[in-house]
Amino acid sequence: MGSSAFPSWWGSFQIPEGSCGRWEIGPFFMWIQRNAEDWTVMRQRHKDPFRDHWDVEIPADPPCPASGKDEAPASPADWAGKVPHDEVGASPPDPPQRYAALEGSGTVHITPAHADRPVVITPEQSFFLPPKRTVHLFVSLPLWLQFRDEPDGVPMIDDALFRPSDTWHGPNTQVGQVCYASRTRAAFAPIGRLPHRIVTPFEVRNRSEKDVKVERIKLPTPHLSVLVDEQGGLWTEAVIFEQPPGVDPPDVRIEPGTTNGSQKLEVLSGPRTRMEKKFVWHAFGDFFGNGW
Amino acid sequence: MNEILSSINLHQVFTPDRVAAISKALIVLVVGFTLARFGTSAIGRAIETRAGGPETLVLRRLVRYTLYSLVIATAAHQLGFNLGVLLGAAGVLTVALGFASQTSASNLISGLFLIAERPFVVGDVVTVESVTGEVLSIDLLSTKIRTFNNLFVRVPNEQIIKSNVTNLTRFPIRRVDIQIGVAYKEDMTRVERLLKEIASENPLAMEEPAPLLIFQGFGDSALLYQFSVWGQTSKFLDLRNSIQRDLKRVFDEEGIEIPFPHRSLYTGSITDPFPIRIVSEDSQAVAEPPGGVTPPDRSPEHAG
Repeated sequence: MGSSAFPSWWGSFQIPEGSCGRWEIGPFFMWIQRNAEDWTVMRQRHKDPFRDHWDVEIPADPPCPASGKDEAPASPADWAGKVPHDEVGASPPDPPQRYAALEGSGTVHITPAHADRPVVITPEQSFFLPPKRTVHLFVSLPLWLQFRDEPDGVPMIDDALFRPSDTWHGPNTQVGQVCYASRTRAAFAPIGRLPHRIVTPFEVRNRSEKDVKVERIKLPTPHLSVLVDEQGGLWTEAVIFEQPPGVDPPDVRIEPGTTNGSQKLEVLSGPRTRMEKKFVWHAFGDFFGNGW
Repeated sequence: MNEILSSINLHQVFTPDRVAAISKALIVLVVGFTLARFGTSAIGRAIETRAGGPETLVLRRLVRYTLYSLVIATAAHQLGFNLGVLLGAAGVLTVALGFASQTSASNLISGLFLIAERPFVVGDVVTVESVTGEVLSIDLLSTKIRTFNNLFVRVPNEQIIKSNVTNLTRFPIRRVDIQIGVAYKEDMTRVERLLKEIASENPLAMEEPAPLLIFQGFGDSALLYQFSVWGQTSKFLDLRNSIQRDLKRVFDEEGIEIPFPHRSLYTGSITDPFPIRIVSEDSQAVAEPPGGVTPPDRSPEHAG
């Protein structure tokens, strides 16, 4: 089980040699088997992006097929037999992958992480923000999973728990940035949780003299940390979007203290990349508009 | 031989003035080449910080050979050569060489234009006429391309300047266009909804720019659509393969028919149906077609 104070799918887990662990995190399934010299990992995905269930089972039952150092990696067909058959909508498993293991280590470190590119969120229904007004919103963002066999090592696996679609954010098709797309309700109050998503509170401040239409927002996810509250809920820092007076593009700021109330938060994983200074993260002209 | 050597008086050949001129010329050459080398490096660094890319190499060479030419001309002047005569001779020689190497000169000038215009850089994937591949180098006379089946193609720069060049990797995103036909019996609204769902479920297909669906018209055998989705240029082939695989799978699951070309033959509204006769293995008629049409007699005595 995880090393956290509450049951969770992240943390450090002991997998004795010859044993196998199974992770089920929303639509993501993963099996990790410890062999004499390597780790064999297989992943599979469910088609429902809102599947609300998580479980960690070590040793997994039924066990993963043996894949010792003298044996070839188990074939996807062998592994597929271990995937729950009642899971309607599960895609075929990815081919198993082998990673050379750290000598003597039987511990895996599973960490939640943010997307490796910014996420463009699109509210299901866009809204207007009148002048001189501020709105607080909550969105849930897709999470990535990192697997290491030493605490500060380079991740062997760095994969989305549910891979969002690509999207483009820029003024035209020549200039811009490839991002991930996430459709959201952009709720005005804290939202329900899913095991494979993280909640980002953010604020939109309109200091200009005209309405701001919020129909698409690019969130600087690689600059955000993964925080956990006392109930095991995952949060990021708060993100502030501020539309200044005039025609300047909005500024984006990451608030170190999150806005989830008075709960105590612990950092699970830091940002993938650091912001160089406080106000640097400008996008292409229009943060809130259609962006291109 | 000895007589010839004895007739040459070394004192007459190497007079003090001539020795001094040769010494000066040598000093000019040594110092000049050294300075030219340092000068080329300094100018090259300056160009590199401002320009970068393949033109840096060309400009460095141009600067180096210009400086070397100046040094040689100065050394020749020290030796007492008349530069006016030399330049005149060089001009005549240049004209002669120009006539003899028109193609090379054309390629050379095209190469300079190509380097200045930069329609592509090393590493881009381009299509030049019928050749598609990765640009390995852009040189003064030709551009080297590696095709996807690992062939080395040398394309003269003049040909590149004259023909259409398509750079497939200039922009980070690209559109996949799929032409598809569905049977006339299908509900067009349902087909269009399914196509949009296929795009939204494929993570490589971008949400923005949004997928495009164009009804192309009523074809001979099918309702014709163009289904276009955007994706990352670096994952173009993955997207093109996966989206067509998804399309076939979903159409099969939903019972949407992708028809093959077929023809319906009519003989006109007032004509009788085509006569049909079922022939057994021994070529004897066993049944007559409905409608009471008598099949044409194919008995041996009527045939031919």
